[in-house]
Amino acid sequence: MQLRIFLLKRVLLVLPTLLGLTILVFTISRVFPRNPVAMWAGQAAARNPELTKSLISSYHLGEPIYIQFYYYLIDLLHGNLGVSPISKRPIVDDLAQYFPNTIELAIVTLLLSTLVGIVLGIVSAVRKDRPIDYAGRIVSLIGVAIPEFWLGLLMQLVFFYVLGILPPGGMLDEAVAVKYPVYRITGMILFDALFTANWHALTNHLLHMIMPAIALGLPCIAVLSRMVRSCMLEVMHKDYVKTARAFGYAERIITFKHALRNAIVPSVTVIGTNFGVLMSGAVVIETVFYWPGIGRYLTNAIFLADFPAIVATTQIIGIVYILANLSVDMLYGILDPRIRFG
Amino acid sequence: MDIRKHVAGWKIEHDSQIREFRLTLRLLRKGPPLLGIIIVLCVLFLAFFAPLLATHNPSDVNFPERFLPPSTSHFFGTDSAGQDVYSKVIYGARYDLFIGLVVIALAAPLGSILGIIAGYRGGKIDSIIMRITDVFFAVPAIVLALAISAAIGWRGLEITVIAIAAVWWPFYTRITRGITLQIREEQYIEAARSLGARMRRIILKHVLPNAVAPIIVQATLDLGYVILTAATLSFLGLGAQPGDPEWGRIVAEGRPYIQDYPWIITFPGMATFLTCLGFNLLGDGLRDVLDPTLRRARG
Repeated sequence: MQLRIFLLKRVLLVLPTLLGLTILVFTISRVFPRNPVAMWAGQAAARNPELTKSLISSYHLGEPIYIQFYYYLIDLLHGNLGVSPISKRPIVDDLAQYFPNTIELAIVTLLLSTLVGIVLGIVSAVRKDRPIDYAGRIVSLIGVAIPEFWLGLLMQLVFFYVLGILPPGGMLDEAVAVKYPVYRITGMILFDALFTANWHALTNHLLHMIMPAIALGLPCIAVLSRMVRSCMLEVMHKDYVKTARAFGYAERIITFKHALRNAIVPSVTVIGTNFGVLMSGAVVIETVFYWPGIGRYLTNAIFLADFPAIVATTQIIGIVYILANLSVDMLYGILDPRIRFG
Repeated sequence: MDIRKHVAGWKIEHDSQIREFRLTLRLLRKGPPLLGIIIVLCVLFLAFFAPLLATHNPSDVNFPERFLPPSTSHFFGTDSAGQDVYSKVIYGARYDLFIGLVVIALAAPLGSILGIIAGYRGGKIDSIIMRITDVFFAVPAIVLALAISAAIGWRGLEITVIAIAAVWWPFYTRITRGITLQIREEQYIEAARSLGARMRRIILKHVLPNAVAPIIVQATLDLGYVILTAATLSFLGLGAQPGDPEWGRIVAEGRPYIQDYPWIITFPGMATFLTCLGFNLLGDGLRDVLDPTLRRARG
């Protein structure tokens, strides 16, 4: 199969999933609640008959369920996610403000955890059953089993309350934010500060990022290093590796040129899964570290019973996750031609 | 005499199974799986004998004794309401293990049945079922569980269980479908079919026995992850009610006092971590044991 056809097919296959996701979120938002008006308008509005009437018509709550879904879909395609009954602002505006912060944290964490995970996996495989392999395996065991919220709190306890070397949360110190304001370009402080050469804000921001990134990245490192390790061990027994060894190539060349290149391909799919781990981890970690991202927005919305915001955030996280997995799948197809023909 | 003869006959008849079982035990007796077994047994023990092991009633509020550090009368100290953290953690084992077991009991059979149907029938039914699982995979479990429990509107143990089970079944669908697809092509299935065996018989007699081992492995691993998810949901304020002896809930309630009274968050978090670790080690060990190809290699 040609690469172009393969990619097109992958993209088309995503459409039913996106539609299914929308149906699922719609079902949760309109079918589950016993009193949708109260959920969508807030308790106060539900007691006010005038307001209730206007909300019923603006959310089409009086229509049959499939008509409601039609309007929901149309609104979604227009980027209209409703208005928060709590903040009285369009949810799109809220998300536009919070989302870059999550993406920024996710990108940094994904890059770091991918790098560390792959290196750890390689080292573990090459030095199998040596102390460093055991250390790597213990790290990966801890990484999958540790509650992220607890890890975050413990790090706060140690690095802020006891040692006082890292800030406990937030994205920038207030003093720095006032003295060196970051000019908003992408909405991501890291890149904005970098582009405008705002070094004070940048270093301060990076300091704030260390703990959330580690707490968020540890489970990803764990999963990835495990995968890379087992792929490497499998590949190391393949005939072409033995042949290379028989030819007398240096072990370093065999590891990186023959083994790693083949072992790394299946690991790419794990990076896609890790994006999902990151997204759900972000909900927890952002809450622990007061990181004003989409996850913290979601937990705040739950705390305030801001139902439209909960639904919209779930929908957006789902879409982002599907698109991330799509790009990983396409990358997998590009890297490994066998997938295209399979 | 008669019974002994019977036993001897049974032993001879089931010789291979007995040997398999012994081998299994021997493999589980070393290293990480053993640690897993010990941890899991400890958690089961705590959950089962919680009333005997707890030194205080976990719901007893005692304001004069709040924020006491760990001591001989309060092993893990006391929290902001003067409740004994040790007793709460002990009862938490019961609470969290219950959530884990119920979720798996709901999700595993449902997901497995769908997976077997999808794999066996193939075609349109397969595509529909798998598209549905894709959708559930597209939203991280915690986010979906948050949305579901927010939609249902009231908070409590049942909601946590329903929400987690609702997002957990697709894992089993994916696994059993893969196995069914593989087995469907085997010759002995073709033979059974040519002898006139119906679909129900083939599934019950041939497909299911092959799927049981991977399902058990997955369920063991998942018990840990479900407990982790339940604790996380409670930490975020859904699920367990204020004051409930649930590990995530205890951590959430101890969080404001982390600087001065760190023991409140330390012990319940450690309990969650160890429990998840235990099920993980046991699940990995079981996978090695129950997969014959791996077993021969490790011998």
